[in-house]
Amino acid sequence: MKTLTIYLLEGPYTYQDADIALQISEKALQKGYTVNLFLYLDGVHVPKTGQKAAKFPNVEDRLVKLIGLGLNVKACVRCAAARGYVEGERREETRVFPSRQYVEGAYITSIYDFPDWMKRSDKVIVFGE
Amino acid sequence: MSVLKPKDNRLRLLRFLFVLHKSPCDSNTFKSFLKLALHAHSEGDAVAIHLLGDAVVLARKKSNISTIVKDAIESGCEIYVRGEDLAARGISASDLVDYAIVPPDFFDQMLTDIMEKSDRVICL
Repeated sequence: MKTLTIYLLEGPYTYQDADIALQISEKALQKGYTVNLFLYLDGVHVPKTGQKAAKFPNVEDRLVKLIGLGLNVKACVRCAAARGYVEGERREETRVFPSRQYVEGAYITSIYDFPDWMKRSDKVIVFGE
Repeated sequence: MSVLKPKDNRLRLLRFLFVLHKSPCDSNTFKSFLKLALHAHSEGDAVAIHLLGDAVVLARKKSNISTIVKDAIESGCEIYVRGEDLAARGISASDLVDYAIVPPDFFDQMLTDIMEKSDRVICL
């Protein structure tokens, strides 16, 4: 089955980018595609635990549901470190940086994982600027 | 380095999909974006434009920025607009330029277009 990679550069609750990216991810998973979501810049806020959006759809809840359906989620370590999400050294066996603030199934990794996903994807789409 | 060939010498035509979701009022980028779409179409390529989020206002009939969308439709580009984003902004389907399509399941249509029908996808 074909693979779609989504590159998200915008955080939740300011613009629609995160909502749109997750809605497209959900539909793509339902249609049987493999879906990768790479988070960059403010996009790294999306997997933050404890979100309590009063009047908007909760992005964390939606992300957790999609990870359960098979969504692959990675975030850029530089962007995540700059925003205080990285809490230790890289674990060599998984190449993931630890963060207790992230939902399970969302991983802080190197930006070089994004071109790796690009190579393996049929299509790449970008949301945010 | 690849060199653009004249359209009659091309091996095959491409289908371009343009996805617009930012407000067209924030910058002039969307004009360049749509001009690129029109250029691709004039070269003989198939062009589809998907409008969602704040970009749905581009398809309003009475908007002074919709001329370029009308041009695109008249030249044969397909324009799809997301109904939920129109409703959220109080715009009804009758307010849209003629021949703009509001699919019943926008994301289903868009994903089929992205994954199965289009050769290139360009997002703004």
